[in-house]
Formats: sequence, structure tokens, C-alpha cells
Amino acid sequence: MSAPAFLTLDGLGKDYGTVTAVRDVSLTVAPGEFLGLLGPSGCGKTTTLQMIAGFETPSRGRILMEGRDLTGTPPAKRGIGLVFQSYALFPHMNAAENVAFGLEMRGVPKAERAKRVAEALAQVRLGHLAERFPRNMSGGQQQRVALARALVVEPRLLLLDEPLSNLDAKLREEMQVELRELQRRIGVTTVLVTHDQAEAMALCDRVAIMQGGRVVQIDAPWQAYDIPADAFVADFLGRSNRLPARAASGEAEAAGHRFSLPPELADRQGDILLTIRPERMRIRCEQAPEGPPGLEGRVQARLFLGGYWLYTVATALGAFAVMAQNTGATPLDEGAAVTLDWDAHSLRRLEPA
Amino acid sequence: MSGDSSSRNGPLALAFHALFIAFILAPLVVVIAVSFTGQGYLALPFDGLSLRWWRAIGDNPRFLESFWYSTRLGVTAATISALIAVPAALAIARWRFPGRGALVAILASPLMIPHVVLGVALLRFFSGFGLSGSFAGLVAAHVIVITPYMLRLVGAGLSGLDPRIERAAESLGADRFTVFRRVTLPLIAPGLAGGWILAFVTSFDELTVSLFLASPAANPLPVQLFNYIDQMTDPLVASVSAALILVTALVLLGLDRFYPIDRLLTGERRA
Amino acid sequence: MTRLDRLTPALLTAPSALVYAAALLVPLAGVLALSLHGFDFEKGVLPGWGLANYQDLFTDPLFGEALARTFRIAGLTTLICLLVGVPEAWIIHRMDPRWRGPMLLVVVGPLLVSVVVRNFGWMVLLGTNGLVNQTLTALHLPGAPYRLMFTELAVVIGLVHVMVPLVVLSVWASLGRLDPVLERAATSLGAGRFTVFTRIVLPNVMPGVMAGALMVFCLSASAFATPAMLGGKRLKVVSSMTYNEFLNTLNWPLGAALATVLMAAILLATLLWTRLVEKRALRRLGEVAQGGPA
Repeated sequence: MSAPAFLTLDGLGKDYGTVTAVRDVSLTVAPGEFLGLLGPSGCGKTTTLQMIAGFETPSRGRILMEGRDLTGTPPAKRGIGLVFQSYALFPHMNAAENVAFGLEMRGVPKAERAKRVAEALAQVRLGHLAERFPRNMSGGQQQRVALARALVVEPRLLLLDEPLSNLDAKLREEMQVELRELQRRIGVTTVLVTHDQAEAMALCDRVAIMQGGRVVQIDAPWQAYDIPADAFVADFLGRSNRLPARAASGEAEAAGHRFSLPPELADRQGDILLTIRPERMRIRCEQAPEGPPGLEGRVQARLFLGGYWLYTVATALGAFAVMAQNTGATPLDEGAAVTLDWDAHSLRRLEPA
Repeated sequence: MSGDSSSRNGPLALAFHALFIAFILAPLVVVIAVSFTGQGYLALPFDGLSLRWWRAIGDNPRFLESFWYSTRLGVTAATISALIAVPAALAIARWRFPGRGALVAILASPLMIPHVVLGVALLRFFSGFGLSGSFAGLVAAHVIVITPYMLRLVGAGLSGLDPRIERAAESLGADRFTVFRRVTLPLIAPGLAGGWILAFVTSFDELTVSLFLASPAANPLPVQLFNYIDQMTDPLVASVSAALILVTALVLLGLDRFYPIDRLLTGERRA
Repeated sequence: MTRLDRLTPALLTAPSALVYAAALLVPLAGVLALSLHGFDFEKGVLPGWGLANYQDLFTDPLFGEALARTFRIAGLTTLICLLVGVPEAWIIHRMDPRWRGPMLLVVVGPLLVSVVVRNFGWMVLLGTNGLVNQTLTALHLPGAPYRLMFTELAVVIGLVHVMVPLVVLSVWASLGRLDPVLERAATSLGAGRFTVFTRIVLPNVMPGVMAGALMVFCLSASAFATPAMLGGKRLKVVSSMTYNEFLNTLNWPLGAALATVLMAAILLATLLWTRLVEKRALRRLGEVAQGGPA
């Protein structure tokens, strides 16, 4: 990262008695960046966020915002905007009063408050529901009020704790687009916590994938997806197939099937763990007319996913997940004999997790 | 989720809390302390610890008799209350029927009716049948006083019970009564047990209604104690009271193990 | 089968309905009827009907005094219970979970000890030579020792001791239903501890506060044991007057009229309270704060 860091986590850790929730997290966030903390439940991502917000005190390490140590600064003074999974809207206040609360706490005069509340609500397209109480709003509307409430105080840092996971799938997708667009427009540095890899990949400039209280990999989503740091990341981001093989002179061999390795792995010798994404595999009914022979197998199961078909194919090397675009052609039947092949450059080597 | 600095009480709050606890415990501690006096009158502080007034409890059979009378009364009333409250709670939780709202209001109404009024009403009513001053009369009165508590706890147990569980049992071939016996009852057992204990304690402590209905032959402990204090206050009152406090404390500590006291008294889960 | 189904609720509610009718509704109606009869010390209850007992009561300055005292004591007790009980519930709520259970036990446990025992404790404490007066004298307060027993102050102290755990419990239950994240949300927006309590917590636990207040007021206004033991024979409240008419003077019709007035006054207070205060507090909260299944 060439840009100066806006937020720095330096060796951050948190213990509860003998249980370690966060082991050692170090990372930097550039100004205006949208960073995702992604991982399964219990990986320490929420605790990390709560430490940034100031609701949990780190057991070790430091949090720096623009170079200033935040240790000892109470949450109210950190200049953060926080959106909770449950939205945490004040049930006894209507939408406008909820949004106005933070401005009131900052002593913003009434007239200006009203103006900024109206702007913030308009920004999330809720101008017409200012008088509504949270209980009379849909999940998506509550979510947008929560966002407006966090943004209206012009926070230096926006923290989002699983903000979309209480919404249904279609609404979640809409909100992703909206959230991404809003964050770009305002340019506020944002940290998102989520267990949903699709959400993190859709929203974030970079994702930090966490496991067991540590960051395993930080990269742009597409880079982490393409070159996962280890088997855990490969499995957590999207689907992937494992391919244990023996390498020798630029070729690999597994259960009698031989295939070529990509140039960067050409000098590998001995046991090697390879992985390949389902959408990088090709499936067909018969052997390709030219080139090396494909891997033979049988369709075990198929799932129709709209835009594509997901086949599970049993082969001598084990079961493979294969994605085939829905071209309108008749799909392969379950039990059909098929052949799989792939380009050598689609193969990645994995460090065992 | 144990919050850090942001959710701690400040020194002012803790001082307030200490004063509050002192206020709550003061009369109980004083009663226990004064029961160990060796003197013939109530005074604090006193010289010389003595078990004289604890031994005096044994020499005064009327307190012991009243203790057992109150125990029998509490057990009988709480059991009858459970027998009428469980079916009523079931009907209220599982059926919509005409008069349901009125029934709910009436069943809870003894909580709002002054006990003096209840005592007056029952004294007048029972004296028409010669029931005033009898065990049966006191049982009937106590059933009315304690049933609202019983209903609240059993009702809370039932409302926390997913009716789909009962439907699942029915779909597996169990008839209504079997469903109740094998599924519903075991699941509301904690609420029922809590309700019974709360009902027993409430009956055991009840003074006002009992005062109207008691007679020398039917003399619950609170009435006995109240009348005794009305005449004289010697350290015997203190030792009897201290014994009651200690018994209650033991019951409470045992109870809290399997049924948190705030749930017992509010019918809600501890946060 | 369907007929049986329709009968089931009736069968289930029959036992409780019968017991309540026999031991509550009919006797209460009896009190109302009795209060409309005359009384003669020679002949006992007279057969004629009329409102004479009520007329007697409302022209009797002693009754007016007792009625005023009853509501004065109840009002003061309620106020003190709220001022003390609400913050205490909040303090316990904020305690470390390890301490919460035991503290709640200490605060609420005395509810299970007989009122007679607790009042006796206050008799020992508040007597002329009691610990309170000894302390005040030792502090050289002018005028100490004071006469504390058999005063309205003693009655209020005794009643607060009996009632304040009910307020703590009621508010505690509401606090348990409050989403703890709300406090963090307010803090993250810059609210201090005090603001969080007054602007976020208090409005949301208002239903519990209101319910607790109403309960304390009704129970204090109808209390008998505490005024009788700590207020003594001269400091009459409506319930001790009723007791007197029934068990000492034996003028049952007048006692029945007293009981009816007490009951009506409490019903009226409940109605007014619900109308004027609760509605306003609950209006904005609706069902949310009442909490469904969490």
C-alpha cells in the first residue's frame, strides 16, 4: 500500500480469561478504503471491530487512527459511525429522531440538525418516512435508517457489523449495490465485518480473511479468490476442488491420470496439493478431438442454479464440482459418462491449511 | 459479551448500592442479632450472648403449633391452587373462547383487591356457613390469594412452550391426554414447581386475610406473631422471627439453584 | 369430537371459575350489599337498605383524615420507591454477571420473609432507644433522640422496605428485555453515561416503571400490617379502620362501607393512572418494548 495508513491495527489481541478471541491482528486501512473482515463465526472478526469501536479493551497491541493511539479514548470520542447487525434503532424514537440523536449529542443547533437529518434520510432514500417508528418499518428501511444515523455525524470511520445479514437475499443484493455506491460517493473509510464471502467480495476494496483470531490473507477480493493463501481460504472463498498429485518434470500424476502443470510450478518435484475452481473446468460428453485425454467420470448429481449448472462428477481422482454455463442446451443427465479437462494455468498450488 | 469499561458502575453508583443493601438487610440483621440477647427485654447493643430465647421457642408450644398449622395450610392451599390453575392456564394459552379476556382479568384480580377487603368479604360470607375460624375457610381464602401467582408462573411456562411440539406429538399418534401427560406437563414442570413454591411461601406469610378468619383453633404463624407483638414485644418475638428468616434464607438458596428468584417473582427469564 | 373440542376450554376453566365465584365474587357482592344495610348495637344488622353508612363516613372528619393519610402515605411511598428502586435496578443490571445473581437475591429475597417479621425489625430499629436513635444521638443531632415509632415516617419507611424490591424486580424485567446493543449504539453516537440512561434506557423501561409504580401505590394504599404495627392505634388508615369496625366495634355494615370505599378508591386510582400516565408513556413504544418472545 503506497497511500498513508488511515487506520492501523498493530499486533492487536484479546483474551477472555484463558480463551483467546483475537490472537494477533496487524493491518492497515488506507483513507477512503472499504475493508472487509471476513471469516466464520468465532474467528475474532467481531471482537476486532468492537475493539476498534472502543467497546472492548485490547489485551495487547495498539489501534492507531491517523497515527494517534486510540487506547483510552472512549467510544463516544472516537468519531466513529457504527451500524449493528440488529440495527439497534431506538424503539422509542422515530426515524428522524434516531438520525438526529448523534447530532444532538454533538450540540448541533436545532435548525442545522433538521437540515442535516433531512439530507441524511434523503441520501438513503427515506425522506418520506421521517416520522415512522422503527417497528413500522421493513428490515431494509430500518437498515437504511441505521446507516443514515451512523453517517449523519460525518464519522471519520464507518464500522459495519454484519449489516445486511438480517435481510432476505434479493434485498441484500440491492442494499449491497446501494451501500457500495454510497460509500464511494462519501468516501468515508469503512470496515465491514461479515461471514458472508459473497457480500465481502461484492462490497470491499480489500478483504482480510480471518481464522482462529488471526488474519490469514489480505488482498483484493478477486486476488484472494484467484490465488488463495491456503486451503482454508480456498474453501472459504467460493467453491474449490482439491487435487493431490505427484509432480515430476513439469507434469503431475494422480491415480494414473497425467496432466501438465502451469509454468510457475514446472520445477516442482514430489507430492503437491493442487486446487482448481469449478468454473475453470470443462465438462463434455465425449473425449476432446485433439490434445491430451481428459479425465473420465460420471455425473453423480446436478443442481440447476439459473445462470449455470453445478455438476458433481465422480472420477478416479475423487468427486469434482464443475460449473457449466447455462447455454440453453439440454443438460447432462445424472449417471451420464463425461470427460473433464482444464487449462494448466487454472491450477493453483495450496499450502495445506 | 461481558462489556468492559463502558458498562461498569461508578463509585457513586456503588455507594448508592451499598446503602440500598444496608437498608434492605437492616431490619433482618437486627432481628437476628437481638435474638441472641441474654436479657429479658429488647435492647441493642446488649452484654453477653445467650441462646435463652431460642430455647424459649421450645417452651412455647403455641409458636410451634402455629408453625405446623401454617405449613399444613400452605401445602393444602398451594396444591389445590395448582390443581385449578393448570387447566385454566392451558385453556387460556391454547384456546380462544368467549369470555376469555374476562376470565383472565378475574383470575388475576386478587392481586389488586386489598387484603382487608378480601378478609372482610370472606369473614362475612363464611360466618353464614360456620366456616369462619376453620381450616377449610382459611384454605379457601388462601387459594384465592395465591392462585394469581400460580397462574402467572404456569402461564409463563406454557407461553414459552412452542405449540408445534404438542402438534408433533399428536401427529405421531398420541391422544390429547397423553400429549399433556408426556409432553406438556414435563415441559411446564419447572414453572409449576416454581409456582407451587411461591404460592406456598405467599400463603405461609399471609397475615391480613388470615387475621379476619383465624380463631384460637385456627391460628397461622403470622397471626400468632402479630397478636403476640400487639400485646408485648420481648426477645421471644426476635428468636421466632430470626428462625423464620433463617428458614426462608435456606429455602431461597436451595431454590435459586434450580429456579432463579427473579424468574420466580416475575415469570420472566433472567437477562 | 368437535363438540368435545368446543367443550374443552369450558371444562378446563370450570374448576377455577367455580372456586373464584364461590370464594371471591359472591363474598365481594355480599360486602357491597352489607354496606347498604343499617346497624344497631342492640339489634345488629338492620333489614332496611340505604346509603346512610356512606353518608356517615363522608361527614366523619376522622374518616376524611384517615383517607387523606392513606393516600398521602401511599403516594410518598411510591415516589421514594421509584427514586430509589429504578436506579438500583439499573445498577444491578450493569453489574458483572457474577454479582448480579447474588445481589438480586439479597434485594428480592426479603419479599419472601413475612411482613410481620420485617415490621418487627423496624420496631426494634426505630424505637426511642433503637439503633437509629442511638446513632443520631451519637452524632449529636439537635433534638435527638426523636420519636420515630408510631409516626407516618415510620409507616413510610416500613412500606418502602416492603415495596421497593417490587419496583426493582419490575424494572429489572424490563431491562432484561432491552436490547443491550442500544446502549452501545447511543455511546458510539457520542452519548455519555447519564444521557444513555435518561434518553435511551429510561424511556424504554417506562412500562416496567409504570407497572411497578401502580402496584406499589395500590399495595401501599391497602396495606394493613405495616400501618398497624409501625403507625400504632392512633394513626388510622382506611384498612385499619375497616379492621377495627369488623373485629372491635363489630359494626359490620359500616366496616363493609369502608371496605367498599377503599376498593373503589383504589380502582379509581388505577383507572386514572392508566388513562393519564401509562397511555402517554406507552404511546410511542407500542408493542416493541412490551417485547414478544425474544
